[in-house]
Amino acid sequence: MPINSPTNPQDLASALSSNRTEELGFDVWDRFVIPPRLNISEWGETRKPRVIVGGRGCGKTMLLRYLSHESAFSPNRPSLDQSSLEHIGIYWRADTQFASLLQGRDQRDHVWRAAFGHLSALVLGKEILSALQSIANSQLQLINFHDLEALDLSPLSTPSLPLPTTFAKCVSFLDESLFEFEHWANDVHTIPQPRFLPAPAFIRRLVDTILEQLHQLQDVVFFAYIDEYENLTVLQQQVVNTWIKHSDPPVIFNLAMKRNGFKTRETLGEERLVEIHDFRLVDLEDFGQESEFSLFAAEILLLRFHNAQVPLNAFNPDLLRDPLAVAHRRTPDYSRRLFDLARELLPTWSTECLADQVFRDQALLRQLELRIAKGLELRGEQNITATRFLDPEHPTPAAVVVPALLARRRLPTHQIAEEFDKYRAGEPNGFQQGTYWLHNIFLASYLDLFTSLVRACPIYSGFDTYCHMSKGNVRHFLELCHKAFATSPTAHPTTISPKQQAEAASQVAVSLLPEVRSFGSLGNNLHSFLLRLGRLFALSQRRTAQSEPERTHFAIKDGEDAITDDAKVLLTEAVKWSVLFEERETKAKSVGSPQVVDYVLNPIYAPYFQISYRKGRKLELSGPDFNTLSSGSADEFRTKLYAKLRATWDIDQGSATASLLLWSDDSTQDSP
Amino acid sequence: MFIDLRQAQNPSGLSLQDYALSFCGHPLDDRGKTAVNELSKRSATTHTIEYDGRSMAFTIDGEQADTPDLLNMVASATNEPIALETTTLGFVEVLLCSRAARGQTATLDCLYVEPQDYRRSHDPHLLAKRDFELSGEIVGFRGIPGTTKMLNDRRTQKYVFFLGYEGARFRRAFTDLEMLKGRSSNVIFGIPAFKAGWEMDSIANNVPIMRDEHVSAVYFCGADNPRAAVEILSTTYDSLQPSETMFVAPIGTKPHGVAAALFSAQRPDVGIIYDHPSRSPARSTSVGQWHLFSVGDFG
Repeated sequence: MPINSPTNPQDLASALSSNRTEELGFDVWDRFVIPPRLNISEWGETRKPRVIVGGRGCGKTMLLRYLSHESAFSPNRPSLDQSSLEHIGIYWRADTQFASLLQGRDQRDHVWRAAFGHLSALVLGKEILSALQSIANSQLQLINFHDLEALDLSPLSTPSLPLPTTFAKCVSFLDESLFEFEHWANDVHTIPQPRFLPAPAFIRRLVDTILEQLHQLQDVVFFAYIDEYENLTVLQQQVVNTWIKHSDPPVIFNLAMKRNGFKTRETLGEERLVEIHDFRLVDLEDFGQESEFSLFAAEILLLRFHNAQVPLNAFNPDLLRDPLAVAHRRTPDYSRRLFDLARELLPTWSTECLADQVFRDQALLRQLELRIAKGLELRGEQNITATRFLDPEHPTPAAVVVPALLARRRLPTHQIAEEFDKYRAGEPNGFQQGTYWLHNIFLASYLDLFTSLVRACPIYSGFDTYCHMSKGNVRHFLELCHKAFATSPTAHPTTISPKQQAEAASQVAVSLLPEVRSFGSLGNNLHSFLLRLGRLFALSQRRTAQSEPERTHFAIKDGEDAITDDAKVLLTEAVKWSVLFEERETKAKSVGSPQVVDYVLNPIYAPYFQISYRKGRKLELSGPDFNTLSSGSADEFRTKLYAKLRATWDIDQGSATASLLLWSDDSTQDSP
Repeated sequence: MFIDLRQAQNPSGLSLQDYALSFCGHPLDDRGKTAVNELSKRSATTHTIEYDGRSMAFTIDGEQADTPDLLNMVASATNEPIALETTTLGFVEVLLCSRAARGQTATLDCLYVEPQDYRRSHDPHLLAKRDFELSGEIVGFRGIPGTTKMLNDRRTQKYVFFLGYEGARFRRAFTDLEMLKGRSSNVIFGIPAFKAGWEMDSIANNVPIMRDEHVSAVYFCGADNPRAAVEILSTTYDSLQPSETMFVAPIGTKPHGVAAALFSAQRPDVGIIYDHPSRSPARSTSVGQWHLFSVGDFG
């Protein structure tokens, strides 16, 4: 299934640029791709609140906007039926700089609780009225604007709190009340406190009053999605937690947040929020199998191409936004077709091709020859030379791993040579069977050849690699694709060579690294931590023997109890901002032993450090070592940890400083 | 309001007058110490004021204070000259003092002393050569009582960013406050910079964010020129649609922060977006040019 049409590559690059959802408006129906693993068509049937978790760039805002009434009743939808009333999304993204005002300043907690409730009542009340307008404006034709004008909202009033009685006046009232509230919150000492509306009672009363009069809407359930929950104060989270705890139709409260977003699970009562009992967790970055994200990524990529007028045979964009088509999209036949298309756009090289590139490239071949020669020299081999493994007529991946094998002192040279010959002869051999040297150390050995060259290593190429490096993050995936197409020559705009893709991956890593400084109040510390951790993994990568290949994750021996409180906070922040991914080891080594948590470096940064994007061997750090890594001074890090590991791993100074892309050995300092 | 600008190589070149009252911050570097010392010599009364972005409270001379306390202090010097030592005062302190002084004083003088150089990052990596160490922990974008407006992605809003060396602060605005829209943002660079060549640091550190967030409205005004900065703010304000709200984010040079504070004191309908950085100790080296911004007709 070929990809037709040589559209201008700049158009393709621009189609792939990662626009923030905020720029797209509220009706995102025709731009959204339903994540295949989310059974969104059933979200209206389950009345339990949802807590949607995901890092920056995982598509959270896009999902919430898709769920909201503007997209649910979009005029662009080809069809709508009554079932759309079972889930009407109401989206509230709390303005965290304003919400932060609602605390302290000599006011008691109960005032701020009520004030935050009032703000919520005003915002969500407005959204509910706005949702009714969306329904009236939709092709459902269940209600019209006359029905809304005819609504009698007098039941909302109480003797002590008279409220507007018509739809239009209620909209104005909520607007004016927001303005009045904003005014008061800025000057609580001199401006009279407004009369607070009680949330969620006001919201429920509003919905009940409407549904009692608009019988056509009797099936309606409003799902209020409160975004940026992690930025609310503890007190505000307690308020919202209480609403979640007591969510009932016709208004269900839901949350959206970054990882580790709960500052508290307490409610205003005695109870606490409990997962499963009180809510269902939806982790937008947990795709179960990696292929599920790959499918999602392929669909997004191809939709962007489709929208850029690139004709793609047998690609149907309507399937991507149809909740009922999810099952079809999960069939092997469908996904295979899409993967084929995506891999055609972003091809990669096989192990053989990668090895072939080494033999075609004098600089790389020289690096390989030097490493083999050095290995032989250290063994004192007189009768064998590097050229024995480097036949230009028969380039072979086995040659790439020979330097690592020569660095393994217990492995006799004659055995390496014999296995090499068997490999060449097509006989059973240790490169492909038994010890699986190629499988285990080819990638690390290949990377090693690039450490002293200022060029990107082509292992960072291919659609599947891009998916792996994105680790569930749509923004990162699109950024990789965007850069790849932006750097493409015009000759073949719909296929990007592995070299160009690798160059793009390096550029993306370089451009994303400084962003870490903006990740929360500890951004500078996180940036420093990331640089240090990457440098340790890069140091490990320099081990010639590759006995612990592809180190890109670590664990803390003895668990988190062994580290300081500051280090724990930094670790939590690193996970929250997806600098690290937390993976709990499922196999406990012995009964009663603490569960080990692996912390995996976000692979999007791998090209910057010239390390593997895959999860290889683990680096085990003691508590004190982790404390040094996370909060030690630059000198402490250099002298206590970096130098210690370099000595432990037996890496000589020359090898450690080989990388031209990164740093010199005495430059392990970083900014505070 | 008009702002008279004076600059000199040393304080005697500024012809500083005597002040009934002055406000200073805690000096963290050479220039701060020199500036506080100079102003204290010329002030009948000098107070140290410090705002805490987390608690939204401030202290005067180490004692918890509130707005009426500040107003009373200023009232005690009504129609007499007042000075702010803006090298050491943070943006919010300048804002608080400006609000208190508005309409109360004949002259509000703002003293500012440039450094010879700023402290760069220790990171020797080629990519870090434009990094600076001006801020320690940054509290984040939290409201300041009296100047905080609600961000709303359903309303038309205009954002004006004064930009400095620290691109991470600009980036964080879009990270933390996702309702901000780059296409509705104007950015102002301090060009000409305090010293020739410094402008490249602020441009290089902010352009990637401008590209990512689709910010295309770029303005320039002298890094040391609050008068020009107020003019840009006024022009933007005057061009607003009736339903539009304007926000100013003063994360650039201190003179631009002074401009934002003065402008905000006069326009309470303008929102301030600010991230409350803690200033790094010894963030700059030595003492550079001296500036005096004299604010008149400040009603």
